[in-house]
Amino acid sequence: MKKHELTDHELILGYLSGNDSSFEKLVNRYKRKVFSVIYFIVDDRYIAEEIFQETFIKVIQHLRDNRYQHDQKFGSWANSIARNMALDYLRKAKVKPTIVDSQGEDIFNYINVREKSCEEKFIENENKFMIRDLIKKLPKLQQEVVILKHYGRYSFKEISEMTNVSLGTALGRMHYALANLRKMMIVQKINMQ
Amino acid sequence: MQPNIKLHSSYKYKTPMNFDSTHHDLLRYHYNEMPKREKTLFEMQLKQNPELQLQYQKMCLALKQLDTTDLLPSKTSVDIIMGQAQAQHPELQ
Repeated sequence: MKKHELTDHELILGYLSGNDSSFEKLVNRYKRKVFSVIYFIVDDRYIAEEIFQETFIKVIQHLRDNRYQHDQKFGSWANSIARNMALDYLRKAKVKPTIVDSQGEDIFNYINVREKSCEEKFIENENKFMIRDLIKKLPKLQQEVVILKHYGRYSFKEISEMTNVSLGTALGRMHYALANLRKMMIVQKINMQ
Repeated sequence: MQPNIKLHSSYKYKTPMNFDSTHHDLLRYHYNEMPKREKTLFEMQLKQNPELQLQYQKMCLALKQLDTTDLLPSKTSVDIIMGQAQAQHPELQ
């Protein structure tokens, strides 16, 4: 028998009545989407992690203070908090604090790779770095749709609504982003097999 | 020869003239964003159209590369949030 998946509303009520695992389920349900929105705005994984934490801590405070309106969609609400916090960060940050190593590599990425290097082949890690760099080289609007679609797993319809463009435009941006990525991969000789 | 299949209106004229809409359909197909009937018709088209297969193959190669990396928050971040969720639990206030 298929297990009934609890709705967001049920999970919120579960948390408010003392069940912490309900909140954990909510976080796991939305972490990918919320994180991708933040990452796209701040363009820095380290900062994105901090804002991601702050976003959900704010969510907890709002729930605790009964400031969440239960007729709202939880996902959209959490996303709007994340987006506002990321934009606030950009407004406040005069100099973007990036921690880089002697080669100019983002230290956070470096640590990530060292953690995983035992599990993954060298070539895969190399490609992973290159892919991240290539995504950053895309025009901003194409970068946005790749991050929201492929990593945030939003639907194209959701992306078109979030970015105030038609569905065709969102699809078009994704298509051109992939075409551009392919070209860059060929130039950089990234193994595409 | 084109198969004698009644296609959804958007598949009637897949020629180089509507290059973009073909790619849009491939993207919607890949990400499973087509209604069931449209998907079935599109799969039939895909099976019988080598050019479309080639386009799909190219698209999948680029998408496969995107899969080599991921964009998820760390477990540490989730643990910090859960620590706060427990510490600030409404019932404890």
